[in-house]
Amino acid sequence: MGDSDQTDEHTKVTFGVSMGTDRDGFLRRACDSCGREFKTETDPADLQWALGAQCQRMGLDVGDRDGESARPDSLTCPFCKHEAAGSEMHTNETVEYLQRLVYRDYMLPQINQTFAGLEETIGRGAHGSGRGFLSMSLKFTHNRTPTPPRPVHGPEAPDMKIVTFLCCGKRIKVPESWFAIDLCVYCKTSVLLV
Amino acid sequence: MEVILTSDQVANSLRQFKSRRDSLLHDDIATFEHQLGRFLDFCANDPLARKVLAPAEARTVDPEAWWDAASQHNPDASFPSDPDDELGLRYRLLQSARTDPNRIFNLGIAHHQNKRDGWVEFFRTLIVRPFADELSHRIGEAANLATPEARSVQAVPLSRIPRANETKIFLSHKSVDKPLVYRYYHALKTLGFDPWLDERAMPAGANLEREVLRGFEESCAAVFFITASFKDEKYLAAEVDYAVMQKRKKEKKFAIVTLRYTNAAAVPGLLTPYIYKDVSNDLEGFEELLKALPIELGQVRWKSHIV
Repeated sequence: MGDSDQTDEHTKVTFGVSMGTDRDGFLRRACDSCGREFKTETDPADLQWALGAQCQRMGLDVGDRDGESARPDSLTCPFCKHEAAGSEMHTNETVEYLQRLVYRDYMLPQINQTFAGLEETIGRGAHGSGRGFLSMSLKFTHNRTPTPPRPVHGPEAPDMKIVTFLCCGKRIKVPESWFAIDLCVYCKTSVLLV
Repeated sequence: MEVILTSDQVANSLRQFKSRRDSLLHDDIATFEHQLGRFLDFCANDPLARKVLAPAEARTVDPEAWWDAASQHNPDASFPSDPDDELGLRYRLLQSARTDPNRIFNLGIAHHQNKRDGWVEFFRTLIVRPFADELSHRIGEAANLATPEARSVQAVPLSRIPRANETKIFLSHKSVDKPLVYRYYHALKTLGFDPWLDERAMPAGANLEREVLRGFEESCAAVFFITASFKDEKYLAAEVDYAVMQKRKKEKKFAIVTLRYTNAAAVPGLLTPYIYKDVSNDLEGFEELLKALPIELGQVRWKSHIV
């Protein structure tokens, strides 16, 4: 589903993220205010920003994104009208997937590498000691953490109805029974559902 | 017998599948056997999972031979090239690992994994993850097949929704052309438009001029028919004036449309600044009229007596 490629001596990590969309190409979202779910058509830039946000939450620096990754549009929740960046309106499932991907493909290799280096340094120091006034022996062994399986995202149920916003031509999905949409999720134009 | 699932059942199956799959793949290794049991219980009982796994279970595969080959000193952990056989074998391997967890240990040892963490992650990576990935794909396909296509509605900007009293279509005509204009009237009505025709729209005893003026004020278009019976433009003059007045007032929200039939005289000078089309029959004329109107009809729906 996803894969990564470490280059430039660990300064740049490229993540390939593949998200499970439904039959109609929609990705499930969750409002970060009311928690209710809707769907939007996928936007690669938005996913890149979402991944970046997860990396930063895990204490990693995020440098320049690729040229395509202009900051995604903000979204207005079709239920409570809360407005937030698209990269903040992901389901727990998606957030966990991204976190697992970052942990597996970036953090864990870094941890293993750091401790392997430490083992080597301390090991060398222990062998070289004994000439000073105070002599001590130190043994450090790092058990390499096994790499967990790569996470899987989806499959996504093809549920909900499609709403086409005639103001900007974009589409979302909301539950069949939800009709109280009076603002465009993308451009906030006043609309009427027909 | 084919099991028919509702959309809710499909969504529920997928939600449970993802939850149990992710617990099996990613939860703490201390709970691995427990998660394996929960996942296999789901596979054995969920109707959507059964649709996918029943054919795989019917494949002839030999899990015992695979365990033996994969756990020996020089292990061979290869899988059948046929994707259905591979899925069936992996499923059987998970079932046998549940029955006898020592197999996971033996497999790990044969692949130089000396600790429980190592052999469980090795088993997860070698057997569980590819099975979960393939099952995710197939169960997603089964969910798509079991779910009807999505309904579609439109969210129309308020600025594009006209008021009830501004969307009539004024059909200006000569009495001699009444049969022709009636055909347009009925076709527009059937489609859902609101055509305005003098004698139909006017109550008995109404003032003709006043009602015609009101007809224009409530319209978004005026249609003029130039047929072979057209002789001079005098009879049109008043209605063209009204139409031009509305055009100035409503601008893009009002269209003046002239349909000139074959063998008719030239379009009168009063109307040439506006849309006029040469048409050879009603169907052509109707198409040109629909294209020229400033309004359009909405979403397709079932007729009320059908549902």
